[in-house]
Amino acid sequence: MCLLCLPPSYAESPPIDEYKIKAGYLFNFTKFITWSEESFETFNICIVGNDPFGESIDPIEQRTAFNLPIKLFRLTAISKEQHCHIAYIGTGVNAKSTGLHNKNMLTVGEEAAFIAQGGMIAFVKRQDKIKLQINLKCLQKSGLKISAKLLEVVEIVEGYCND
Amino acid sequence: MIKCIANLPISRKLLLIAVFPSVLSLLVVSIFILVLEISEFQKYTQDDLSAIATIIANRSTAALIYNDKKVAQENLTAISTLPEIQVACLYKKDDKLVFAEFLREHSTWTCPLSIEDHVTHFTNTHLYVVQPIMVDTEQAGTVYIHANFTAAYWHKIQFIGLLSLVLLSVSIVAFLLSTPLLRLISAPISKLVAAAEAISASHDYSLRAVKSNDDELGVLVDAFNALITTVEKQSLEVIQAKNRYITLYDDNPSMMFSINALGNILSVNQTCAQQLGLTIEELKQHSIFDFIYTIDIPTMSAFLERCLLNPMQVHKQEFRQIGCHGQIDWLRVTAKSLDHEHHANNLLLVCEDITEARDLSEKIAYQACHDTLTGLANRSEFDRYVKKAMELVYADNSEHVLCYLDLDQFKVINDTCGHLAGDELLRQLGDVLKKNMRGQDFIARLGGDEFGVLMYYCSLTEAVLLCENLRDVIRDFRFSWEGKNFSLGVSIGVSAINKASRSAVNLLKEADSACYAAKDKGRNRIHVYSPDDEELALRHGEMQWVEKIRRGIENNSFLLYGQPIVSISQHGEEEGLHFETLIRYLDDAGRIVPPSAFLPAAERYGLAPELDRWVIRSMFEFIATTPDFLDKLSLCSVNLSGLSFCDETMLGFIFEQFDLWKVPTHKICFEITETAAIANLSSTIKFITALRERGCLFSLDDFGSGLSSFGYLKNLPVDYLKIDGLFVKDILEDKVDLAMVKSINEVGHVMGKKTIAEFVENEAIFNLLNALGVDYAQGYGIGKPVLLTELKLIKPFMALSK
Repeated sequence: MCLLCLPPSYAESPPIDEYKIKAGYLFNFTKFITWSEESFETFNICIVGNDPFGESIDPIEQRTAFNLPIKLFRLTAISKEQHCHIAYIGTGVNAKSTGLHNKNMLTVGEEAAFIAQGGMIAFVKRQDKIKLQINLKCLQKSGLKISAKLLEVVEIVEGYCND
Repeated sequence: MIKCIANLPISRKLLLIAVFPSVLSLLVVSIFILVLEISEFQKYTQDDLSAIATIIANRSTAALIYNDKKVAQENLTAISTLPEIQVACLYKKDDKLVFAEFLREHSTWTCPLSIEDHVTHFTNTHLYVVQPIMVDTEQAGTVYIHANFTAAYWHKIQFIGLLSLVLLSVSIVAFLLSTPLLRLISAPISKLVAAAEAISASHDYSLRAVKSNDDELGVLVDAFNALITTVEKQSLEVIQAKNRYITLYDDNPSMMFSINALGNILSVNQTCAQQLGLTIEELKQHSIFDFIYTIDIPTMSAFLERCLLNPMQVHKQEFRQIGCHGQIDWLRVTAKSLDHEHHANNLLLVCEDITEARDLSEKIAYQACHDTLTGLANRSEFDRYVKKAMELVYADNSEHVLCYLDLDQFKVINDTCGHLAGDELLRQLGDVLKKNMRGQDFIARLGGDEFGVLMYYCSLTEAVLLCENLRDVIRDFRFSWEGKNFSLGVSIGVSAINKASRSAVNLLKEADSACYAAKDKGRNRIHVYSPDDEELALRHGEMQWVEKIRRGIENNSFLLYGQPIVSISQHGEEEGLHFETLIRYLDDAGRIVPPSAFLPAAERYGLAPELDRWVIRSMFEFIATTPDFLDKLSLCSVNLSGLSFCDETMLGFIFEQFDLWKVPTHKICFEITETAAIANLSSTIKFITALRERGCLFSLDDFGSGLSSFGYLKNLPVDYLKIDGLFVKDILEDKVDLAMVKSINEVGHVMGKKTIAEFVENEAIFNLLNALGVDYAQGYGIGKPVLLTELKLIKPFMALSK
């Protein structure tokens, strides 16, 4: 909870907190992105591959999104059995090979290369500030809707998308 | 304030009424619009800015969450196009940190360091909007906008000002347009007021207010004019009445004064000023006493005092006044206290000039007690003096003497030289007597040739001496007439007036008796009364008849005779009994005495009316009680003495007798002598008129003998004229008598009267009278007087004429 209370500007502090901020971002995405209606009992956030958050992201499960309790899944790869509303693709996972383009799934990754690999949102670090890059085309293709408010504060980039 | 307004002229009030509501409404509307506009403006601007703040807040949510200042800055800058906005700030959620801000260039305003406790509000023209930015239920931050609306306010105020100006101008225009309407009300009122003021200032009620319109003001003007018409009429009437009263006062022929208690003149009328020869103003400086004859001033003072003491009564008094030419006029002053208006001490005097009346009454009074011929006192005055002398006897125990003078040769002079000579003699003798008696003594002409002298404070002895002196004077007096000289003698009877004297009448009788005794003893001598004289006088004189007549009336010693009167023109025709009643005295010896013996005494001693009464009563009784007499009777004449006309009870007596005996009035004719009638003309006419109204007839006896004017005839309403027998008896020889009879007859006929000739002694006279046209005849030739019972119808000269 404390993590989420922190304003984004606090992210400028020690690098250990960088993922706390990124965890907050993951939660905040639920406020600006709309998923298509499907009946789920939980709002699933999946961490695929390497887990940089560790325990710091766990408090997110106490919160809700779209009136659904948030549930964390740590996966090695994206599978069809486990649906993820948000899939954080850890470094070291080839985005292309993981099948990023599942319907109704937001893919979040690190660095601009992630977009190039077909990811939808990438955390980019600039001047010690975490910025977002969004592959809007890819995001829209997967059936998600993004709030214009979010678009105002992100950098929209052209990237590969699995056609 | 309201009192100030209440005293304003109506035009101002109307103006106020017109202006006040519009100004008030203008003001209220302006304020209302201002307040409304400002509150509306505040509401809208607040709403607008709140909306803008909400948008900014919305737009800035992501920027806040993702800490993107640039975007936040851009969002704020977007509202820079609104010029009012001075400052726009974006705070992080604890409100203490300015996340992004917009500051207008050259503006002194900045973002406050903290907006904790700030809410959206207006401060003056500044609007502060605080809009929290909510993400779900949490506050992500706050938008703070500070806008300065001073310019906008100014704009609003200008707009409202302009609006007010427009409204004001419209009001002014409306007012200007309504001014003529206001004038429609105020102008007629002003005119009416001006007219009313003009009328009250000039008192000229012929002025009228001008009517402008037919509204209520027009009605008011009409009513006002009607009122003024009434006032004009009434004031005219009042003026006329006043003028009439002034005329009544000023032109009144009586002098009128109003004076105060001291007699000072307060006002007078015009007549007064003319009479006194002064102006009214001059008169006001005078006192009433200035014009009163000096002798009457105390009377006047007493009179005024009496008037003031009895203010309710009207007082009258006669005064002498000094007129403007110095003459003395007699005034009858009628005074009345003017008690109205509390001038209780003022008096109104109305003065009538009674000088003429006074002179006349003095003259009458003088004539009443004086003998016109000699200028001496007359018998009645002498009687009064005798009475006074008798009172004097008892007052101071004095003694006086009464003398009775009778001239001896007077009848001779009168008969030989005529009445004029007699009159002249009496006049001269009066003067002679007056000159030759004592100054304090009193002389009067008692009648005919008789004089009376009253000697005051005189003994009988002295009186005899004085009388002898008088006798000598008369004896020595020579009366000359037409060249002839006459000497006179006088017989004087003297009677003492002392306590032994019984009465004034008695005294005169005594003196008369003494005088008679003097004559009896041989004339031209003085005789002092002694009781024997009375008997002497009774025996010889008229005095004896007084008692005889009295007794005769009581004892019916008189007899009634009748002398027939016949118609000349209707001679021979059937006629009723027509006669003149005559009286005779039957003395103790059974002799018949003719009236010439006792009638003068009856006249002189006032017994004639009694005798007349006896005749009337007896005559009527005879007519009523004698069978068939009334049927035969045509007309019965009864003689009346001159004294009877003056007897106020006589008329009543005659009417009473008519009623008592039921004698038809038209069968009775009263005969009066010409001389008696003329002596008391007015009472005679009254007497005649009263009886003639009842149907009685009248004849004028002895006409012609009095030598009086025919003019009297006009005034005497008689039915018959009896031509005096003196003319008739010599008618055959005397042409003058014939002419007299002829003219009397003609005049009588012209005046509508029947004529009767007396002393018709023979047929020749009768025939001549017939030729002259005389209506009736009476005389020895026709028939001698006979007792009534022996009266017969007579047809004289019948056999002869046939």
